[in-house]
Amino acid sequence: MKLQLDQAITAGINKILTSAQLSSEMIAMINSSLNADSETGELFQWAHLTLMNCECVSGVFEDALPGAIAMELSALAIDIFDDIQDQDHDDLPWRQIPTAHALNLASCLSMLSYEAISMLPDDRDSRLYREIGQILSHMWITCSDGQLQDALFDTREQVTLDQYFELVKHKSGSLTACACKIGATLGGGSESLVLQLNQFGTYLGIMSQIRNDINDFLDFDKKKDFVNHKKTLPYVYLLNILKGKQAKQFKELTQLKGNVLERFGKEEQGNLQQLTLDEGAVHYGRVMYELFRQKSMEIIQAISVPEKRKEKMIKLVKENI
Amino acid sequence: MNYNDIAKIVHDSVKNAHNNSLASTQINSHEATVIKKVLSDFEVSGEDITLGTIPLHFWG
Repeated sequence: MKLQLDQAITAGINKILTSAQLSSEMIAMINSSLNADSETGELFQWAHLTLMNCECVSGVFEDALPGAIAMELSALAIDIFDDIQDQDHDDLPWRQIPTAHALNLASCLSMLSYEAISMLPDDRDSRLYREIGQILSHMWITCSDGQLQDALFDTREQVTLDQYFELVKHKSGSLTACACKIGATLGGGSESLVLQLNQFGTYLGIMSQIRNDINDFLDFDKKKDFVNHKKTLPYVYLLNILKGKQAKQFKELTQLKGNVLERFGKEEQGNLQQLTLDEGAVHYGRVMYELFRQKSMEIIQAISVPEKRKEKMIKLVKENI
Repeated sequence: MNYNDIAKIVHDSVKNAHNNSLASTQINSHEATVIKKVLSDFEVSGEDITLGTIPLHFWG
């Protein structure tokens, strides 16, 4: 089934690329970028999240295919913009081409996602097209603002935990919420059901960001979050919770002068790891992840759809940490 | 959810494993239960510094 769905998504994307009459260079960039960041080898994860929500609401997923493709293309575009902003993930295809090319690739993908929703069936006054278009636009606006705040946070000395979670809600939660909302809307869900799944998506995005922040914080070989002053969850936690000697030690680590990458050597890395573990930064991440996981589970258990249709959604959040 | 109060309680609990402040009234009982369970699981599993994956990869 998943293979057939992946084939349907691929065929839908190819149809859009052909009708857009793109250059062979742009098509090559798009094809090499699709699914390039999948850690597990699973294809079209954003599209599948959208389809899963549609299936949960209506029992079938076919109706959501154009919306799922739109979500996949938009999420890829946002990923590219994010990596350019963070100068991150150097191994990915869009980081191995000139930045000007990558920017045009991301812009093109964002507009192609609107081409995708034009494949939605004609209905009264193009209601679905307008509705899905609005959901997509809202996500782009919220996410862009979140990305800007993220960049601004890097230059600030103080960020509170409230500000961190508000940012994550905008930056990461808006994407997952969008996928869920598009799926639920195309599944014909009532207004309240769509809102519930939108909230579920927000929590899912926050959980993912917490997980990424925790996993990347001490991965000094691959990530530069700490030396780049990225206000990740462990960073913001330590910034706000430490007092006295430990606060001074943390501040010294954040204020290394000169070539920060050289100054942040094995000893400094060891000190940061010790602080992170001893002061409960990983513990806090796990607690917050679990609290949001339970909130998302409560929503799925409460929604008014047959139990059988909830199974995939429950599986999505059931895994404990 | 009061993120700051939860952070303080987690910090206090980690620093004073046998004399923690979970009796605090600043968080609700459900949050206190989650904190207790996560910290207890953490002790059992050892100091794993990562979070496992959630199905369907990740979003964010």
